Amino acid sequence: MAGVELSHLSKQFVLGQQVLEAVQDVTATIAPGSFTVIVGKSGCGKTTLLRLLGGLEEKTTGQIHWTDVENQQITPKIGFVFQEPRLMPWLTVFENTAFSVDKFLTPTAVESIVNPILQLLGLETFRAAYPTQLSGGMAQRVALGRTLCYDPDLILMDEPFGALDYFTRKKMQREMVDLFMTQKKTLIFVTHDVTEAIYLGQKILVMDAGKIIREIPVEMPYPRDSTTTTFLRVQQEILEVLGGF
Amino acid sequence: MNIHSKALKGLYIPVIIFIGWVAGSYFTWWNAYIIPPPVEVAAAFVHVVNDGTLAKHLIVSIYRVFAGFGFALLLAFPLAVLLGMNKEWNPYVHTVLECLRHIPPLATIPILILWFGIGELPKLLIVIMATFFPIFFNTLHGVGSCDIKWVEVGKSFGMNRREIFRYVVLPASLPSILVGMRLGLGYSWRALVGAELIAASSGIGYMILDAEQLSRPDLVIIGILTIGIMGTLIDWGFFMLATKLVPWKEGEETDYGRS
Repeated sequence: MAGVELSHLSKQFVLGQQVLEAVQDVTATIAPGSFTVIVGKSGCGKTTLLRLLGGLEEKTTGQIHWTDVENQQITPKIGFVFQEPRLMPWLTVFENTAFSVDKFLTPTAVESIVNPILQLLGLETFRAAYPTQLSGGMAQRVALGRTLCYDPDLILMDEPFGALDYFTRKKMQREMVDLFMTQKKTLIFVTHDVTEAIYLGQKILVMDAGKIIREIPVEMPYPRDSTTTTFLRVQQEILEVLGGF
Repeated sequence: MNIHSKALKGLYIPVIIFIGWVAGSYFTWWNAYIIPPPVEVAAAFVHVVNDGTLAKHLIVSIYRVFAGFGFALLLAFPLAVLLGMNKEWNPYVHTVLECLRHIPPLATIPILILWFGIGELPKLLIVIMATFFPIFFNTLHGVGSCDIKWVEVGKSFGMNRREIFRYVVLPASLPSILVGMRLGLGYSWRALVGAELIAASSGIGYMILDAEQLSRPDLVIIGILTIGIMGTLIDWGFFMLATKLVPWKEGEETDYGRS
């Protein structure tokens, strides 16, 4: 498990003559073993923030400090689940899931890592299938499985259910909660879906125009019911902060 | 459509041509010297098979094709990988390669003979020249156009450049590489037979030239058909290999670059 402290983190993109401030002066603390959701409109900088955390973008200014449970500085193993599954078309479901596993392990050792995760995600029957033969939900499950096999201290997820239909999405959200309860990992999840954010997050960071404009702790037990007054109150708060509702 | 009916459809035209050939020879629509009758060609075929002439020349040509192909692969593949992975080097070599690519290997025969005589080396060089560019450019394209999204997946799991190449870029570009190899094999046959027609003392090209000088059109036809059939067989073998190596494309109507 790993946590992270962000102080005055900024990221600028230079597009021709223009300078785009994708992330501006973000300061936040994410505790080890917590489930944090970053929510905001399209283009608010939430994906860029996540990519900064994942080391896929270089920060312009500011600090990122990774910490463990005892608040010691560490270099964590970070897993990233992308918006699209990004499975390798030349690998089967099993091989894709094993993609993140150390290549020097024996086949038996790889099996012992991958099999439980395929089972956890309900993918055993598809183990020999190629990505083109999978539905969107199944493919995203494989992508999640691949990240779990990496055994990261922290998982970053960038709208992983964005392209899924309503029913698959709901199912995946429930599975996500179960996974959080059993896997004991720090999760940072980016979404534009306010309901999804409240359903999943212990803490919600609301982003707009590159800044975190509100931190909302959600103290409701899992699994959450979207019709309770607390749920609706949090939803109302987020929508008000994001303006115009 | 099943594979058998497809293969059957492919046989219609050859059968019609053959019937036309038989009929034309029987009714003497043309001079038997210009197009010898099938019986004569068949007799000559039995003869060259029995006395080992055909096998001797064929083996020499196949050896040259595969040796040249092997060398070209050894040259083109690493070079394309290096340039594909280090795009900043491209401007240095682009002009030279672009220019060389347009030179037909056969055009270099006079200078190759001048430099190296008429031994094995010029033929090998001709095959290498013919095979190098399709392998090189297809590999370069494959390596250079690997989807950055897959590369990021590798990065996100802490892979270094070498591992990303081995586990992401190489398999992703394998279809392109195989297209290049298959094209190269096709080109190498053409270039080699051309070279053997000009300066050689063995090989299928030489056999055809020799038959011409002996006024044996039947042997010329055997030579031509042998090249066509060998080329098809090698191409088919390569296609099967490619299908085995690229199982994720199974069922897709991918054509691995017919030459």
